[in-house]
Amino acid sequence: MLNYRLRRREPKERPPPDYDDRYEVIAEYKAGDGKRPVIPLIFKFLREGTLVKYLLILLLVLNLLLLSTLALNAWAAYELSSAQSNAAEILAGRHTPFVKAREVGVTGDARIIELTFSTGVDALDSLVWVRRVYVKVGVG
Amino acid sequence: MSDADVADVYVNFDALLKVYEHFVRKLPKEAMGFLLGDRYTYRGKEWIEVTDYVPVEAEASETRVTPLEGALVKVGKLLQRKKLLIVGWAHSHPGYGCFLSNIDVETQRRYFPYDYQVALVVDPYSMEYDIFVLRGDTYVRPYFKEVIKRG
Repeated sequence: MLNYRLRRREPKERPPPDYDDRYEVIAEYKAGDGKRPVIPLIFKFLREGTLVKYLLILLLVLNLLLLSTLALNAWAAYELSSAQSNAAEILAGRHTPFVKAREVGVTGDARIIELTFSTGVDALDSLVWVRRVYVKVGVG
Repeated sequence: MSDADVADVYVNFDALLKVYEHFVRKLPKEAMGFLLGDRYTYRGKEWIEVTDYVPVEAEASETRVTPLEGALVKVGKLLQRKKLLIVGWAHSHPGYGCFLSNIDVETQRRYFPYDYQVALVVDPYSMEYDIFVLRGDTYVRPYFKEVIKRG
């Protein structure tokens, strides 16, 4: 019974899947090649777990965004804290190009200087939590 | 690509997945089924495509599997409907690797005697599998490729 069709059917001429655009060869194994075939379940996940896949990609993107934001804020904090000790120089136009200084007032003998961190890209700047600090610079 | 790169067997991923899912459902016992597909030639070389798998109801233990009476009749009807050939059989070796035992070789020789008919063995625990064909008194791995049909 198992061979009922075999007796009636001769093999048809047809190019193998390697030549057929509808197919993709994902692995190949030969006698004695030492490779141990494993059921490629990753393809099931990639094809059927569409929702899970998109959630994971979304999570990955959010993680990258969070990491970039943290790195950007760490950089801003470093730039501003080092600028605080050189406020007068920054006011004179020397020092880092990412921190701008502006005199906003005078109190007694001291000047109040506003230090603003800016990358030059508004979208990036909007991600910085503390962009502006004030420092008093004494005179004489 | 040269003609020498044409494999003996092309296993469709969907069929492989069906085999695996059936065998996992039947754990810790062995399970078996038929590989369906068709045989073709290309520039004089014969190759087969495994496109589907049909589980066979069987009496199984952890180390042995025998088809139940009546199970083969169901398969025969399915074959008529799908216009496919039996291009081999698949069975599981839960936890003891992929090879053909003496009983498996005898089963292959008796029920799957054609050159193109293959035996697929899967260890569902390790997810490993292998494909064999009989050559004389022993069995060898043919040149085979896993394929995915797009779309």
